Amino acid sequence: MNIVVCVKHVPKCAEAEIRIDPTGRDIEKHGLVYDINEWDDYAVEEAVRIKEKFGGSVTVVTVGPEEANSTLRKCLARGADNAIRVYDPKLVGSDPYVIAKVLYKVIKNLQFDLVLTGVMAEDDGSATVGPMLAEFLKIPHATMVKKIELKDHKAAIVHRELEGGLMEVVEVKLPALFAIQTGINEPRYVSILGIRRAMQKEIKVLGLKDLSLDESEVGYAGSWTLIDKLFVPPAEKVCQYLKGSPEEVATQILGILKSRGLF
Amino acid sequence: MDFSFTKEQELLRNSIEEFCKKEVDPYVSKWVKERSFPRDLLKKLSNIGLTGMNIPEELGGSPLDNVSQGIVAETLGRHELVAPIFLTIFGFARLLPFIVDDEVRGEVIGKLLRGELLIAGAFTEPGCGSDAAAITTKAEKLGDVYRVKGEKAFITGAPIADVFIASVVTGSSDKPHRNISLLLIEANRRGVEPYELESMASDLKGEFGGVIFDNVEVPVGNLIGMENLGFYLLMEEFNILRVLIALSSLGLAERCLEEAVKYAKQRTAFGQPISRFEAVSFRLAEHWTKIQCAKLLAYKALWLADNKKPYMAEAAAAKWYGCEEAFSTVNDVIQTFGAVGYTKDYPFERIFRALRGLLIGDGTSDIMKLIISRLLFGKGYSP
Repeated sequence: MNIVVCVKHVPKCAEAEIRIDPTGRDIEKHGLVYDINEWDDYAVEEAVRIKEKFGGSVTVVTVGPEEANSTLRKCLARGADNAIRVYDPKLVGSDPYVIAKVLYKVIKNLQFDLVLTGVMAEDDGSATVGPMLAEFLKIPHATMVKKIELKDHKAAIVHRELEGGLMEVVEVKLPALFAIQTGINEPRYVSILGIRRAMQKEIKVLGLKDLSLDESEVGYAGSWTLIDKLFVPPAEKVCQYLKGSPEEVATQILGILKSRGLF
Repeated sequence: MDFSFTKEQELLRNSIEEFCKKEVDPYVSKWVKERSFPRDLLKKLSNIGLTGMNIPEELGGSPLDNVSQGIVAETLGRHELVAPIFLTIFGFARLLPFIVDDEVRGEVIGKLLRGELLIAGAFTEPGCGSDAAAITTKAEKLGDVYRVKGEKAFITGAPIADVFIASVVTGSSDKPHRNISLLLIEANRRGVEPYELESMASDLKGEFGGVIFDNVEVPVGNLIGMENLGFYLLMEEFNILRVLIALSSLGLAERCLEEAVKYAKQRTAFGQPISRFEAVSFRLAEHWTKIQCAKLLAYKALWLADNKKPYMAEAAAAKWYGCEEAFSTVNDVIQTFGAVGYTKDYPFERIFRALRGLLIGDGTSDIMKLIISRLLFGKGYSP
């Protein structure tokens, strides 16, 4: 079972103070800590587990500058076998469509049974690269995947997490692309031996020419969408008073938390 | 001159940080509240290879150079790694490859690598500490065993240790340093009687205590290194351990400082964030500066050791300056938080108590200055 996992090196924004940069279309990146996108972390772990069970190889692919090597090394330390990074300064400003196209150009030359991505990236949250990549590759896909059962090398049963606690089970023909949801597994910690292994492996770097891509097809020029504006919405302070017995109030709180996806 | 860490070291720091955020941070307060010692943490650390970082590859370890160990110590320190585990993996594990008997060595190292071995260093006695060669615990050689008699005190982890590494008198020359050997003494041997001591920082059960060796018979194969040369092996081991202790306390102090910075930006007094008062911001800026100085000194000492250059003065300086600065930082972090920083709702009071111990343990600040003085003035002008 040969698996390709698409990963993204992202700024960790959850606990940081975020500021909008002077262009008004991006955030200030200076001082932010970068790491692997959380969803991709689960996708890599899932791929390594499948490889450990069925054999084959795991190749991680990213689009990003040299700093993204640290994310690829982390994947290699966790058990991935090969790593590919695509970069060209002209890729700056690429939208999800362009990224999916670039990934397609890389992956179409690889042997694969499965392509895994995270459901979404924590920085732009578009959640579209996976499905678009599957369209480029002309293979079926499933999103929000919380469980993968491989019947054989021809098909997989996947569990998809829907809203409201529902699970959907679908059978998908292979090769296929699955966008992995967090919580599908417990990603392993990187060990000292894993790090040592990772440092011995080479990260293959590809440019636009290697992928037969023209400058006009990537970056701002090749994108279908352009960020118009990024802003921090003014905080709305709404105070809601709950009435009733403690039991009733507790039930109401639970309802509110559930409705916001917090429970 | 290059101050950067390697890519491998950066990945190591990142990985340990991630481990601690999930396996340590959520539980520290609970351990303290329940006084329960997190024995399973040792197992988890072994799964990522940290119990083997001082064990050569041929013995199954995953060795790390000293600078890398500094990174691990600093990162684990940020997350309040408990002292008995810290000393086991960073300090005493270094001595295990020197165990004389192949079988004993293999078995003990196997346990360490599986995260099943907590080691306590039994060197200090009720009557001597800094003067480590003045010990009175004797090991009399009777055929193929040593018979050990004496008391060791003020030992981190004594009541919960699986094995002790004890300094014992085996020789009778007129030079006390040349009479000392190191022995591995299993806690379950007959006559080994550990006891608990309450210290100002023993928040976890069994974290501190002593042990009585009441005519304990220990096979000669449990000798560590060469007979009568144990003092030198111990001093060498302490040199590195002291730097790692300094880095771990600096890591912890720096994290507390970060919390104080966050707090000073949020907390308002007299109509503005208290960070706008220079009494607050300068105090923290000064500590930031001193922490950076202390870390540079510590990493330099480790770099010197890795490059087989003399590092004793740097190690001693890193220990006293690093630990004192860490303690002083947390003192001022509490001052920044004011009354809430003094409560048990925040971790600073327990960190303050723990860091106080490091001005005494594993080489007091005074002894560190003595080491530096000897190098500065030469033997004829120093004690």
